[in-house]
Amino acid sequence: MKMRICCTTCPNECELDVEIDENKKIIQATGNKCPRGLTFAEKEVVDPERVLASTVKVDGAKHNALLPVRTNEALPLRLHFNVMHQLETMHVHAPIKMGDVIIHNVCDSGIDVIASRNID
Amino acid sequence: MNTNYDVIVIGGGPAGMAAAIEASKQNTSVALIERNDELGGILNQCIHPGFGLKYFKEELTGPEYAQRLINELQETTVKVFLSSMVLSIHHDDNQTHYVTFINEEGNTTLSTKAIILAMGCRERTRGEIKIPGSRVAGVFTAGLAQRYINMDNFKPGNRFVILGSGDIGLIMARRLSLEGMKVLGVYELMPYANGLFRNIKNCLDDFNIPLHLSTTVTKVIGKDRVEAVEVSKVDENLQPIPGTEEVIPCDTLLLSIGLIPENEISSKAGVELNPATNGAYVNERFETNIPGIFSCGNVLHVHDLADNVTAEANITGKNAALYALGLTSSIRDNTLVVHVKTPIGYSVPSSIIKNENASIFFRVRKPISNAVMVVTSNGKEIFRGNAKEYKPSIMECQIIPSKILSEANDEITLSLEEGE
Repeated sequence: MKMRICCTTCPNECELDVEIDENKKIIQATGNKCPRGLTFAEKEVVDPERVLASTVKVDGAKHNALLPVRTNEALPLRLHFNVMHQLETMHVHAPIKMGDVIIHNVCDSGIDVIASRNID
Repeated sequence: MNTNYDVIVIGGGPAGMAAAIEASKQNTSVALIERNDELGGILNQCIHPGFGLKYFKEELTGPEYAQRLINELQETTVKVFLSSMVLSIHHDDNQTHYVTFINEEGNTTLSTKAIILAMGCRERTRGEIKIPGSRVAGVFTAGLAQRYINMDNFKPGNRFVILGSGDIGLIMARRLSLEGMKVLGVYELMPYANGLFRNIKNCLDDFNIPLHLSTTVTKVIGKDRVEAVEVSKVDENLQPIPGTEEVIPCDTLLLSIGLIPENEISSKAGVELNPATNGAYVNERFETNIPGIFSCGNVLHVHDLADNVTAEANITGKNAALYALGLTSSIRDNTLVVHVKTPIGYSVPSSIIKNENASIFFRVRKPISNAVMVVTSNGKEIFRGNAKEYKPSIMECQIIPSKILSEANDEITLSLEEGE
């Protein structure tokens, strides 16, 4: 099977044309300017990962109703809606500093959800 | 209160903050005026990642990118005025500028040697593309819906149609889907997508949202609230083709149809605007036609990456500071006018200094798979680049060494020679 993949490792955003076999192993890949493109593609065809960004409600803040958050690393796409459900009911309290851990080891992924900004 | 500053920056987004930081590094007194109640500008509502890869060398969300600049700004002596709206800019014969703004305390006028315009841009609205049909609730610009969802905790609707495949539209398609709202499709007038390829993949394909090219919304249907939109295919002249109409039941229409630099204060102050960008004409130092008034970021021309805004603003901040300190004068001699030929839509700057290396930013108006940059001066070829692909969604930068420019007469023209 043939696929077109966009490597998002760096701003070059190489577009790779890859061919995979029935075990999702890459037979051929073209279009990547560096080896990181191939590493990205190998993961992308088996279990794609993205950084998930969303918001949680914040109480006691001067100006803000919501705190923007994100996963500190790329999280498997299959877990995104799971994490969204957890975030939906959460409340956090101001003050908050950028980088504060909001959920530790979310969905047992080894990945944390962290605050994207300070809120006073 | 001090009412005189070396440099005054208007706007506290990624352009204004970066310009203020850099100006203050030159040991100038700097004031920054922001109309919102916090710094960061539109970055605060862009909660998605994809920022900072170039400038901070790591991937950040919009709020993180803003927070880093805010933290940096707090280390400086820049005086920040929040919730303050600039009303006008005036000048006197001594080349002193006056900036008048209004806030809860009333009107204030500050004087300065140099002004940096960094007000950003605003979204084009329904009126601008004249979509026929009923004037009902439920038609939003994509950025407004983004603010409602990401900052105000409001839900703008349930079933969405998005018009325009620019990055904001694509990002919103993902965001709405993640928050449990239904995106029925993204419709694009042009035969190609306008957003970055990564956003097509990560925002539409990941969520099985269809993208319909060469299709536009031709009617809004509903009584008090949007009940449906009519979409039609368009021909090569972008005109709707009769008989291709399709009615899509939905309750919300999001518009992601382009941005306009917000230059009302600039033009009232006498700053000349380029109709190709709706931003100021600037020279290589990002100085407008009025000595001491500079412009950078999305108020100058719409960028696709905040990183490029910050880089441009750093240069502008430094130039404005050097001007304010009297270390440089306005460039009016020994310059070359920069012209562009279709399909290049515009260039920034629009004039350059003859004996310095030049970085010229431009954007093409249509995708070209393979073209060579050719620079001529008064008809004579002085530069030829390598063949590459050009896309309207990507701002390009052509660097021309001073040695080549020394061969130019009084103008240079950038053109693209299309290959096979």
